[in-house]
Amino acid sequence: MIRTSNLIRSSILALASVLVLASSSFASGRPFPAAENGKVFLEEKNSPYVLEQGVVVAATDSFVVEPGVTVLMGEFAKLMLQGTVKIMGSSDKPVVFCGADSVVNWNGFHIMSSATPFQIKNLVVENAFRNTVFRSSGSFENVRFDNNYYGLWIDESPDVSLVRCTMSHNRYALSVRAGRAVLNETSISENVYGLYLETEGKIDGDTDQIRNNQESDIRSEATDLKTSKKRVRRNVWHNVESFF
Amino acid sequence: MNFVKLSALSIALLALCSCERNDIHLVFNTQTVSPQSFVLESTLNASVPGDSVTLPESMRTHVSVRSTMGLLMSYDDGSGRFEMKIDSVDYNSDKRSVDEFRNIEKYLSIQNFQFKMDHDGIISDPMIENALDVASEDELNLIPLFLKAQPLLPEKPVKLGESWERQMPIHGKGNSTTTVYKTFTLQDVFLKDGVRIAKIHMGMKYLELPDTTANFQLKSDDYVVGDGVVLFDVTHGTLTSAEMNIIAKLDVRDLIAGDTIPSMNVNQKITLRNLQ
Repeated sequence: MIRTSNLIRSSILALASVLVLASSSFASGRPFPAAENGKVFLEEKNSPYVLEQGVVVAATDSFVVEPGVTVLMGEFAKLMLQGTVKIMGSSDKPVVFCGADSVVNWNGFHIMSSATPFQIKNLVVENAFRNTVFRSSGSFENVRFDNNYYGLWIDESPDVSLVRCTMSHNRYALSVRAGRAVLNETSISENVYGLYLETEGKIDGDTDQIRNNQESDIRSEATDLKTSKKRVRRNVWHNVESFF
Repeated sequence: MNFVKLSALSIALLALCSCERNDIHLVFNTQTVSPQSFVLESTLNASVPGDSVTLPESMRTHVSVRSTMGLLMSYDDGSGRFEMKIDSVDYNSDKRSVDEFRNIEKYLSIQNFQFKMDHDGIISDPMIENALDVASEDELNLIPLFLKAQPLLPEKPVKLGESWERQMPIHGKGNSTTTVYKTFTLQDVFLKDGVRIAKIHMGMKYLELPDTTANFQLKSDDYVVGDGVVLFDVTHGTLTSAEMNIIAKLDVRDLIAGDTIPSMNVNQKITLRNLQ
C-alpha cells in the first residue's frame, strides 16, 4: 500500500516535472527537430529552436539552416554533424548558435562530415566550450566566433578555409591540431590566445589580422616544446588518459 | 553395534558440516538488491624519462565519481540489468585548465550507463544510456574504469586460500577490445557489524594492443599488470570495495604526427567504494 502510494506520488512528481520542463522549453523556443526524409531543416518561421542535449545528425542526413534562425543551446547541448552541412545565414539575417543561458557554456558543434565539404555562411557562434572540424573540409564565410573557450578547433582536416570571419573574446580563438587552415581577411583579435598551432597544424593565407590578443597572437606548440626542452604534446597526454 | 553406527554417522555429519562451513559461496545479488551508492575514483600518473635533449615529463589526473547503482530488471538465468546513474563528478589534471575540468565534469555527469551482470560479476553489454551522449574521440569514458575494478567471483564455492581465474573483455575507444585476465584468492572471511565479509586478493594482467584502425595507438610489449584487494559483502551479495593498482610501460604512437614515444610509464589506481 505504501509502495503504491509512493509510486503514485513519484509518478505525479515526474509528470509535473515533465510538464514544467516542457512548458519552459516551449516558452523559450521550439524543440530541435529530428531528421525528416534525410534532412534536419531549421526554418526561420520556427525560430528560435532549443537544443537541450546532445544530438547527432547522421552521415545519411543533411543539416540545412536557413537565414534568420537562432538555436538556443542548453548546458548539455552538443551538435554532432556527420552528414552534409549547409548553414546559410545572410548578412542581414545571420544564423545564431548561442547559449540559452549566457553564463553557462554549451558543448559546441562538431563537424565530422568527411563525404561532402561543409558550407557555412553568416553564422554567429557564442558561448560554446569547443567547436571542432574533424576529418572534414569546407569553408566558413562571414562567421563570428565570440566568447567561446575554443572558438574553432581543426583536427585532421587538410583544407578548411575561413573567409572574412571574426574571432574575438575566445580563450583559444583558432587551434589547428593537425591539418591546414587557410585565412582570408579573417580577423583574430581580443582573444587570450589568437592562433594556436600544434605540431602538425599549418596555416596559410593572411595572418596579418591576427593581432591584439592578450597572451599571444600566434603560438606554436613545436616552439614551446623546444624552448622548454619537452617532447610530449598536450594532445598525446590527453589521449593517453582517454585511451588507457 | 548401534552405538558404533551412531558414532560413525555423527562423525560423517560433523565432517560434512565443517566442510560446508569452510566453503564460501560468493555470488552477487542480481535479483533483489536495493540501490547502492558508490564512489569510483581513478588517479592516473604517466611519465616519460628525459634524455640528452629533453627533460623528464609527467601527467597526473584524478577523477572521482559518485553514482547510484540500481537494479532495472532481473532475469530468469540469474543475471540482472543494472543502471549506474552519475550523481556528481570531480575532475582535475595538471595537463588541462580549470575550464576544461568543468567541461569534463559536465559531460561525465550525464554519462549514465547500463550493463548486464551475471551473479558471478561477469558484465556484458555495457552501454551509455543516451547514445547521443557518447564520448567524442578524445573524451573520457567511465565504463572501462568501472570494469577494471570489477571483481569476478568463482563459479563454485571456494575455501579460504583457494584461487580462481576469470577473464573479461573491456571495450575501449574505437574498435579496440582488450581481454583482461584476472586472478583471485580468497584471503579471509570475517564478520563486521553482523555482516560476513570476504577479503579477496585481485590480480590482473593484459596486453595493451594497438587499435590498428585508430591514429593514436598504445602498445605494451610486456603485460600490463594490476594488483588489489576486494572486500565483498557475502551476506548481501554486494561489493563493499575494490581497489586496483595498475602498472604499465607503453609505447605511444601518434600516426598523424608520425611520432612515437617509447616506454611511457603509466600507473593507475582505481577504487570503487560502496557507501552503504
